Amino acid sequence: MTFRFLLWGLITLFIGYALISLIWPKQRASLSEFWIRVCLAAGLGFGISSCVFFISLSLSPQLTTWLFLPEAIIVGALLLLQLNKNSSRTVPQPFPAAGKPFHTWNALLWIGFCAILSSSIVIFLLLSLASPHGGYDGWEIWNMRARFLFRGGSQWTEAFSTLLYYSHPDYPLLLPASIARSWIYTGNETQATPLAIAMFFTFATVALLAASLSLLRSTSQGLLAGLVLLGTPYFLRRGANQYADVPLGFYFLAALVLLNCRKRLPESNRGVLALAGTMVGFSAWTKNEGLLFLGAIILSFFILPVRFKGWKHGLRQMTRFLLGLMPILILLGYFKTALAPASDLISEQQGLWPAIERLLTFSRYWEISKAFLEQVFSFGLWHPYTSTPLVLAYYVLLAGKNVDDKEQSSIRSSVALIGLMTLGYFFTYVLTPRPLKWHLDTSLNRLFLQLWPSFLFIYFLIVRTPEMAMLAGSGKLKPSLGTNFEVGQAQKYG
Amino acid sequence: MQGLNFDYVTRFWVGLILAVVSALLSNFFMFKSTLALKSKLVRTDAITTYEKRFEGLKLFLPPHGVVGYMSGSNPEILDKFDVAYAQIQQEYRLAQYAVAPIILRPATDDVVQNLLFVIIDEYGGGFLDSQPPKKIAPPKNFILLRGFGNGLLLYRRELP
Repeated sequence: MTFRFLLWGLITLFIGYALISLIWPKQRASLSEFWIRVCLAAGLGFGISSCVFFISLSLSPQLTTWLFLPEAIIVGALLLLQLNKNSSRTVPQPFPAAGKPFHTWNALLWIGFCAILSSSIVIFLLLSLASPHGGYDGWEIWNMRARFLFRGGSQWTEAFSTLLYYSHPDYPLLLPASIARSWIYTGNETQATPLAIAMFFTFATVALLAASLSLLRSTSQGLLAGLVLLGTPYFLRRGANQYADVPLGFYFLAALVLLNCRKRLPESNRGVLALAGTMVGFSAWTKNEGLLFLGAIILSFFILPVRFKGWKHGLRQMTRFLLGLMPILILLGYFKTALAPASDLISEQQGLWPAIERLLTFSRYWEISKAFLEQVFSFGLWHPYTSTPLVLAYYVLLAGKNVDDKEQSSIRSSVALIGLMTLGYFFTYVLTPRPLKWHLDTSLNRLFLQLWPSFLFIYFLIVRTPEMAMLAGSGKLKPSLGTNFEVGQAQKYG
Repeated sequence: MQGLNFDYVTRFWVGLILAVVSALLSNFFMFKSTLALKSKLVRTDAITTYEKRFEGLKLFLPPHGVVGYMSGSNPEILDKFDVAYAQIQQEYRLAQYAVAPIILRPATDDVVQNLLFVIIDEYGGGFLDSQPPKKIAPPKNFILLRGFGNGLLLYRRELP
């Protein structure tokens, strides 16, 4: 079983890594870039393999017994493509090689990061072993659906029966299909795989956040962001509970990282936009909120910037993005129209008038605003002595911000994206047919959790790095200097 | 100017240390509370224990289809949107988790005559709280197929 378990993991990773290597040619040997590629590869691998599993199941449930066949074909094709890859595609360093100033705080941050990472791994394992089936949503939605797919045989579509309304049969299948696929590999329903998937998404989110900020800013900035994320107890708890909000947050972050990296890549490297589209597609294939994210990302990254860059540029960019998104969206469309019942938030609306009435009830706006404000300071289950959001507000005021001109537009779009998502969540509550207080109490903290890694990514992109702050303090940094390269130069010649 | 710069650097350090310490403390407090779970690890978790009850029963169920479920004289509450019934509903959903891909539905009067099997859980949603089992009357025209000695009973509709 151990061998089959490893094989499942390796095939998942290989599919993703081979694709990433084709789309995003290796730039330079850096630890940050390596981690970004591994995290994106595994996220991509889980997404693609869950789609292959779903397609096999839809064609014939018997096909899943021979699941390794389509997967072997994919692996073979990717190997061939890798071998034929033109080595001249390797592009010169788009990410500026920073001077590597090493300060005391770097060492302290590394020590702090390693300590919090070790502690978080212990916390995660203890929580997971105490509840191997996961928390309420873990077993009631995702693991139960996986059982239907694995045990159901020719009747697997009964997983979407409206009699199971409480387990949201309209939710998409990235997680259940990944779990069921792993059980086909291992031959039995081991709880080790949902646990491993949950562990991957939890710690890959941390790694992706820290590595991408290390690449785009500085190592210390990446470590600091990683520390803050691991210092969010609710993130670890929900990760170990096998909730989909953590994988969803991972795909949100992956898309945002790619969209912010593309400015640094040569114009010819179109694949990164398509890859961002695929990650957005997988977020919608994970949970319904991904569809809201899709709308928000198109608006903030492709439609709103049109007034600065012209519609031709916007259209060209969006076409590349849609290229990666469409295959997943078609699959999701098939799932939503042919198999899944309507979402309870829509089916329970009881017509247009009650919805309009809710929209015009201003006490709802007040109640939701109050809940949003409360949750901002408490959703992370931080200890009362350590309110991280307050500390972050204080930190940005102290450190100041530093964004160079090249990054202005993507950061503006990223901020707009978070704003649009928050607005979307807000109006979901305004329109909900469920009792408002109950709905807010049972879900708002999870919605904040979904956005938390992306928020931290944008926050630490904007706020000055420790290196920049020290230079600013010593008067060596011009206000316009921002990237780690420029800091390196300033330190070298300062 | 020098004084201002010094102030900025000092204040920045304070901010940086606060951010790091706040993260470390939150994680430490969670670590401390999670260590208490160590004692739980020697026991089987509640869901696995709950599921084990259904192992024998599953052998008597059809491979697919809809089966009725009762854990009290009033099965309507299993589908009722009321937090007062959260515990009973949780055990109903755990039963569903255990018997998937069979679909359970509350054996209410309006649907029970269309069902072939009904599962009765005498613990009435109190199994996880170690409450004592209680007798539950089966639906009309259903006969006992088998009791499993753990509060679970399987009834079958009488054949005409």
